[in-house]
Amino acid sequence: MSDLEIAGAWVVDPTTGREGPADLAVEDGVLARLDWHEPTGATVGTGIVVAPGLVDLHAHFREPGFEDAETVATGQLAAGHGGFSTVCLMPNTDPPVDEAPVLATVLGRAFESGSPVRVLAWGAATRGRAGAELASLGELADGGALGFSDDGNPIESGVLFRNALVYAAMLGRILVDHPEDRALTKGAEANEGLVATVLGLRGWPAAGEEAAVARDLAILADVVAADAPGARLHLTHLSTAGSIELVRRAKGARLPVTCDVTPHHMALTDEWLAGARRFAWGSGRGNPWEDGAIVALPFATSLRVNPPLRTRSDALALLAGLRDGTVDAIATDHAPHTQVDKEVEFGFAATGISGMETALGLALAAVEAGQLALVRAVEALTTGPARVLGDVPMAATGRPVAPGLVVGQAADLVVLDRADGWEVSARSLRSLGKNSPLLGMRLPGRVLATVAGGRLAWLDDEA
Amino acid sequence: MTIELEPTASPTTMPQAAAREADASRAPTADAWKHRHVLDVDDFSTDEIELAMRTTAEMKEILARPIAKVPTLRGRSVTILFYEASTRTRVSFEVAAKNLSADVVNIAAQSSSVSKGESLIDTVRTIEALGADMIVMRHAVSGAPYLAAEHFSGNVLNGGDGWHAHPTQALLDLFTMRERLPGGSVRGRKVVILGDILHSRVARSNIWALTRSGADLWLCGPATLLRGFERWAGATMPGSARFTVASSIDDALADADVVMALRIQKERQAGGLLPSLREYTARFALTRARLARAKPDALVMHPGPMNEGVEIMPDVATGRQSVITDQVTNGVAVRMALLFLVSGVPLVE
Repeated sequence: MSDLEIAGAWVVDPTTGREGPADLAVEDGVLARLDWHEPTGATVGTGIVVAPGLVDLHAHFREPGFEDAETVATGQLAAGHGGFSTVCLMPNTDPPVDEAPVLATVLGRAFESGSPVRVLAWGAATRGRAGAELASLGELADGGALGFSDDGNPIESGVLFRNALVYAAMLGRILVDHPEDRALTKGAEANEGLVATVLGLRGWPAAGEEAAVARDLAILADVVAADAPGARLHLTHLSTAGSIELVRRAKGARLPVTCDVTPHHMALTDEWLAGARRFAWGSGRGNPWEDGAIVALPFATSLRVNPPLRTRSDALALLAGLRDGTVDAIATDHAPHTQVDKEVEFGFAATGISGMETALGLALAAVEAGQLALVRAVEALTTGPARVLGDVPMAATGRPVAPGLVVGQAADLVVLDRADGWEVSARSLRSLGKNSPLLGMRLPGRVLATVAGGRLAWLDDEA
Repeated sequence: MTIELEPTASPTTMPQAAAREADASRAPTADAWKHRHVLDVDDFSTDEIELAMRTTAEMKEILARPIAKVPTLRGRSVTILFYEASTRTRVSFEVAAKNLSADVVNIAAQSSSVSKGESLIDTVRTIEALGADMIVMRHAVSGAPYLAAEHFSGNVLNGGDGWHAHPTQALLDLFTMRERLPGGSVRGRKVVILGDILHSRVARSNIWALTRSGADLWLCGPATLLRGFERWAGATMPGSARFTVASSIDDALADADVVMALRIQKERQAGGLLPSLREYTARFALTRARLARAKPDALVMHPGPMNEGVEIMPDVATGRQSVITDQVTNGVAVRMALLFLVSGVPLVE
């Protein structure tokens, strides 16, 4: 790539926890210089910020099978725009990634696109993601899968879940669960609470997630004690205060569990379904009718997501979990959908938010609101997810995921302007999925450039 | 601003004359009407509710004529688009539109997320291209009329969506109560809605209309069919009175002014929400004995269709206190009023 030289940017390096003004230069794709200024006591970080390239543990690029919603190439473009240099794809394609050749196809597409955004992938845990028998776990691992997940289809059978955990441990891989007790969430449309009651939407109780988290943790404890001390469980897109508390206790008991939350679950609430458009931390008592917060029509299908947007206190519990380290990572659950699947009645709409390009903006909004320190937000988007993956990427692909600003290595970083916002719109989103509830809103932190493995994955037109 | 119509001498005639004679500065005028659509009553101002009530009274006067027809909406086309089976509401809207001389087209549609037939938006666009000025819509999915309204340049009237709202039913219920209650107002009156609240759009729209109007509202039914409403009752809603949620039918009915029973469906038994309809009837059906706990002249209401012998006993449904057939008649008048108000045309006699 062409050289990049930035003087006096606010550099955030989560590997050392250091942040401050510095000069840096990239030459021939390599981070050639990083000169920290003498500390002046000024802690601004409000202008140009440089951080390691972001890592997303959970994204859907829809290829093969749903290329009208997203392709690997368009997903990579969206990743660059969002500041991500590494993404881990979920296997719910058609056909699903339950056999090694499908995995090879997905990884091949990422290579063919020419994008430098690094694509890693999870394999399915069960054949056809149907929850009846194990997928070709060993072959998937040999083909480079990071681990296994039936994301979107929780493994209902406790026995099969246990076996997947044990078998994955044998392969040195991680099991990722989308915790949902389907009996409690059958037909559910919105978080069970005031908003769902008033809008007449079928309630999606917190217990529908927490019961599954509790089961998963109980089985994990058994497995670790009895069969497979190396077992690793990652719980994705936790959305309730109760789930966070369960993980907090499990981590206290030294269970090998990690978890992530999405930007939308930590920043938005179910109030948005009623037509409110304010972030969780600014939502008063959480009753949009009482506070006169309703500014849009109710039932926007861009807000239909699994798990559903929760209450203010849930969102604040996710942020507290991020602050105290209970939550390891912010993962996007980027779920692009076509207009055909979203511009329908609320209860018929596909679940999911196109979130890869707005993740950083929502995290920065939380920083601006004092909910997260800048360095912690960056950590949750870089070294946090990298720690979840651990040495698995090295074992699976021969290359580690190690975000950091290391002089002499291929540059992998994001340059953003915190002083400049950008408007989320169908035009500004590079993903094919325009299903964002943030359309029309301004987010802080314009991404000026994303560099992945020494090559440009994004360069702002105006930069 | 709260406007109460003057009390009437006779409970069976509307305070039409009194309303006309009311101080013009206190009465809401037609420009108080702000809504292009009638999707729910949750965002209706007090003035709009009053205007709807006054206009309904005028429409009821028209209905009392030998030829109950005015040319007000002549040349306007109303499409009645029902995705769910309905007789009462559909026919009521149709009669209302025809009384106003509108042209009426009926569409009984099928909808499913799986079938991927014509989408709701395509259907609405087609109806618009066919010249419809208004759509009256019923749909099994909560919120569907909001989607239609976003994609239709005319007016959308919600004839019931999922569990969410049934605004014309709530307004006809309010009108019927005001017509029959001494004083012509529900303010401070104990109104009990009895039965399957959870699945009821009638209950939800009535909560808005009645709490805005200052009624002492009680919701009563089996605890499994009241889930979530405790939270609503405990929330502060601007301009709305608090309401009470109770599973004790004796507490609910004590000294009630109005008792409205809701239809209970057999599916609730299969869905594990009730042990049996028999048990529901034994504990919650509106019987003569239970009604005796209410005030002697308490009104008995039901939005229909009724399961007589299940949620309401036949002798109560047709008894002295029943205003169920008034609800049906008033339903036509309310729908005429709303079709007229959203149309924006002046009333032509």
